[in-house]
Amino acid sequence: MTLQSALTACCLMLIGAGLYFIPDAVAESVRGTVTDILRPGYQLVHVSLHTLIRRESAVAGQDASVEIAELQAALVEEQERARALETQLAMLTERMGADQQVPARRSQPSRLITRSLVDVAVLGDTLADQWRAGKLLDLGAKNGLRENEQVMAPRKTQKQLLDQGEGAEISTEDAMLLGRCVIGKVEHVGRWTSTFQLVTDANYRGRAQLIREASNGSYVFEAHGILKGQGGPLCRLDGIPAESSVRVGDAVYTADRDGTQPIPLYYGKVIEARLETDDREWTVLVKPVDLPNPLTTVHVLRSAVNLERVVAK
Amino acid sequence: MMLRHLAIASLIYVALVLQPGLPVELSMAGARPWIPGMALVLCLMLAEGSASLIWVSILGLGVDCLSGERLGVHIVVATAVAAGLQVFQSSSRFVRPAAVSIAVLTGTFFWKFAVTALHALLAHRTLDWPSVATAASGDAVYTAVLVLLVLIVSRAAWASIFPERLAQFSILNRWSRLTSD
Repeated sequence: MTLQSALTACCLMLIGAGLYFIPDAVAESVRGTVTDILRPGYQLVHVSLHTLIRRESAVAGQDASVEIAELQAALVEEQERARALETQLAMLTERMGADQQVPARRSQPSRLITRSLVDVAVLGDTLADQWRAGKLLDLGAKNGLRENEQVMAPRKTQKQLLDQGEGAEISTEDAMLLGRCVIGKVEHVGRWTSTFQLVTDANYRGRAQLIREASNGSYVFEAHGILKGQGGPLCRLDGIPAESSVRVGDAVYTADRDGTQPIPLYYGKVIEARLETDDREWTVLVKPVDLPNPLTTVHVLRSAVNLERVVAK
Repeated sequence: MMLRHLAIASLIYVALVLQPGLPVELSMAGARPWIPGMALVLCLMLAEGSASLIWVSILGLGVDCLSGERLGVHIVVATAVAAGLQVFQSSSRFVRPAAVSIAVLTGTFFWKFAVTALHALLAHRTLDWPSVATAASGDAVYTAVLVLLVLIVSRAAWASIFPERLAQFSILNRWSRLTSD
């Protein structure tokens, strides 16, 4: 450090010390001038930081929404798997008892009636209205190209249509599924389209049974009843006698099981079960599965005659 | 020469603009980077002798204006710290990242510590010296580490982009040291 530098340092420090004692008005004036000089820089930094933070939070938000969607999809998949395991366990438990009594039969003849799933699109309100109004296809009864009247009849409560009918071998009462869950059934079948009832519709009726997790971790079939839609978000499960047991959280599955359809399908979950002292039946409320909005595609579980068996004879 | 002073003026301006706008997220255990401390060392590196001290006192005036306290304390302290670092600089030039980082560490610590102490003394307040020293050392370490990281990364990036230029610089630097001594 040179002498000149040392002297300069001393002078500058003296100036600084002198500034400490200047009147407030002068100090404020100096402060204001410096702040004014720095103001454009502050604004630039402020705007840049805000833009950066906004962009980062937008990216983080996108990431979060993608992650939520993935987690929801994984959850739905796991729920499906759990339900499948529930039913399999219940069936295995049931079959274990039967196998102990009856000797096993090992031949596997092909079934006369086969069940299969058909992918069906749900027509939106506008398309359904246009179809019913004959705007899409109206060649008239003379040509034999006319849709079933029951399907074409406009209903206030049910506007939507399925885009498959007799051609896809769909029948009335065929179950309408979303994954492994029953969400309704086919009501009327036309040549090309069909109408359907959701489980929540007031006229919906379907046989149902309860499945419950036992204390040892296995699942067992419980009481049977009739699932009725009420025109609201919940369904009722009627016909369960007082001597049966019902618990909140019991799973409700279809009861229309036979040799062709051995696996029950999921309706929903018991959310309320009441039994008053004088009641002969339980009052059970069931929450069906949530439907996506809009409902675009579903499966219809159809029953068809096994043509191989018929032709072979 | 003119360009160098323009660069120093811009540097001081940027330092004064950035310091109040530092995001809270940058704070670590109560410590924040002290950008004027970095600017002080850069002033010493870019200018020489009295010129660097004048620039540092201008930087001190800017910090004084931003602090809201009475003017002058930062000018006195920054000039004193710069004068002290000039002595240190004459024996060890601020070329290597470690040397620059140590200069920033020392400069920031003494600046922060002395300003707090002076304000307390002038206002006749009692001071908890250990806590003031801890706070000043926290800021100083944070700033020095930040400078060290920036220098190392920028050197590595520079070396990967222009490997031949880095070699030239090191030779030139050695030559200037030989001729200046």
